Amino acid sequence: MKSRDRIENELLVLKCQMGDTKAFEELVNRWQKRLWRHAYQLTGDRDTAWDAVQDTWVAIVKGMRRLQAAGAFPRWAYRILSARCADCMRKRQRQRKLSDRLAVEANSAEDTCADVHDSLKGALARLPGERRALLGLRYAEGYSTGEIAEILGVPEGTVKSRLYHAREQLRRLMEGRSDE
Amino acid sequence: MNSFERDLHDALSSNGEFDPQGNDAARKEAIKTYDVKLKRARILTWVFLAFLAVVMAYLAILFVITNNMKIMLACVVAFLIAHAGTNLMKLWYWQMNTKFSVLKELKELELRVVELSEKVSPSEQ
Repeated sequence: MKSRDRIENELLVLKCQMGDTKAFEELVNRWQKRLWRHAYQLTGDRDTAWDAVQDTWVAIVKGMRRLQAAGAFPRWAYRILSARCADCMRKRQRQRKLSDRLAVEANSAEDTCADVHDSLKGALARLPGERRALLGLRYAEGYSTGEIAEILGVPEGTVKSRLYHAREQLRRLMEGRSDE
Repeated sequence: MNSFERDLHDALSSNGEFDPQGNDAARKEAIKTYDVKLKRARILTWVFLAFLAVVMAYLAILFVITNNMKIMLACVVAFLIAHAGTNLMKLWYWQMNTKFSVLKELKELELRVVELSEKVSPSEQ
């Protein structure tokens, strides 16, 4: 994230902590798309992503005043979102009957293979959500490995190796080789 | 960034088109939640302060009308506790407000420095 963007963001968070509704509105406008994209990469489902984003904003509102450093907002928000995505996916999975779920998943996997087997998008769709989200943070949002490490709460070396493995898996999928 | 990474950036950026309708609904919901939370906090604070004020008034009246020394002492102690509660609340609010104000001013200053440095050397940014 650029320094100006980062400072403006911190300023908005501080204003929100002081109870400024307009600042919160701006913060939402600024972060909604990034959060939704991350949720979509994780879940692969539009509606689930929106549910997770909404739950995340509720959690952000509840915990905003307790946030010690305004600079920690991105890391904090992404962590909440990742947890909410996991919750939403668990909830959805519980709602479906096991047999239906298996049938749907098998069909969709076959369709995906047949339609977009060689393209990058097809390969991305078949990549596990966590790896897709990691690539999203790096290449779509433009975060450095250090920033991603802060967001995910893991060492920078781990992020680098995970990125390497995600890229490798993506290459393998694009080449049509079966994965691991 | 090599060509594979550029392709990856393009694919990930377009992966899952952003739905403006969903965005609007979620945005409104988030802002509503924030407003409700602020209102609730404000109401709770006033209710608590009003309750303490009523308790203090009751204790003051009881202190004047009673002849029992034990009750008088209990009234004084309870009055002081209620008074301290009110003051602590005010102090907490003042402390938090000052903290956020100072941090906000520091950030505004930092932003101003970045803006000026961009004007001085735009090529470096």
